[in-house]
Amino acid sequence: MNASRSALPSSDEEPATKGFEGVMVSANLHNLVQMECLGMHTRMIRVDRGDVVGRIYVTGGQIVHAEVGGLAGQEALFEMMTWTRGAFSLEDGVRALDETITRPWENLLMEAAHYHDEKVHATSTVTLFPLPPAPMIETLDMTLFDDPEILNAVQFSVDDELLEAKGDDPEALHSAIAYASQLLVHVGAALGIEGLFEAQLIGPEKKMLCIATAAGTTAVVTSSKTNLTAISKKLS
Amino acid sequence: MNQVLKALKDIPGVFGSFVLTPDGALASRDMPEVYADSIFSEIGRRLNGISEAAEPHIDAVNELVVKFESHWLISRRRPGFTFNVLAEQSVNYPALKMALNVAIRQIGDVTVTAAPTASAVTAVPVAASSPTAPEAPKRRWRGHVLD
Repeated sequence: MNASRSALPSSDEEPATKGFEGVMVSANLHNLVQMECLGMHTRMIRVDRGDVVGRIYVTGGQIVHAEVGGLAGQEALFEMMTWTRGAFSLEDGVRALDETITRPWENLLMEAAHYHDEKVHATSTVTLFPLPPAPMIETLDMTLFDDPEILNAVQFSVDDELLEAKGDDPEALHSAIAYASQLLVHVGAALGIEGLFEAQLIGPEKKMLCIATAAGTTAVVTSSKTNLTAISKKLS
Repeated sequence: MNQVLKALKDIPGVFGSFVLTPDGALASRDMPEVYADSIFSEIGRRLNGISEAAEPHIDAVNELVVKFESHWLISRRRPGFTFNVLAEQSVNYPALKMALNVAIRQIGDVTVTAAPTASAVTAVPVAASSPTAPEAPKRRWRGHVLD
């Protein structure tokens, strides 16, 4: 269980996180926050709803900060209060660095309930506080192709679909990389090793770098003076 | 040549090395005996295939560095032979590159020939941290089965 980067453990408690976790199956985050406030706790409530993670910080029984997606403060708190499903966990002694909420928790929770009701009954499906789009799992870095040191390049997906190319005859380069990759997998298998992720081919005039990631494969041809390690770091 | 290969083990993380002829046949080896001699000619044939595939794009391949999750294979091509080193991913790569330079200089500008018999090659016991014994080749690329 990881604490938020914006959170620090309080000085008078153990830095190691303590607490418990559970799953919300109905709209009981409201009750959970209320219990934390009534108990005068200092805790961070982490709420996971699929790929969105929110955090509510309670310090000495007061709600002092909330964050979710690109939202922070009261807006973030209200947004999370509309969630009716998700998993939560409590981390003792975690304090927020930023205190964006100063209102009494009773007023906040009451207003959050109103906001929730309004949202449920709204005919529009537009979210009042729209969350940013969910991040892509992983994308290939296309900007590298603008580098003048890259003479030729191809990027293709794990399904071998050519996504981007630079230079002449990208299909030939694509084919060469696809063929070489399969041979290298066999070389690794013969030696009993797996997990091929990079190949560098160095010639007298040019170099070739081939990087495989979960998003696909990128191969670039450069001059012999190019630092392949630097490009490899950008692509990995 | 066996002494040249053994000297590479001075670099921590070097797992073994082998020399192939320009045709890809095994000339000498300092690899754990779990590896049959026959696999090296297969490796040589494939390394030659990789070079041939790449040469239209980079003219010639003098060196090939292949990075797997746990081990790296470094292959240096010279007119008379190909020198190959298998090292752990944690190897001191600059030191290994220099050791390779020295080893190749010691071999010199000779054209090596294929080892006549299995007994002519060097075999050493399996190291404790050896890669798994070779099995039937798995056609995988980053965890994806290719066929």
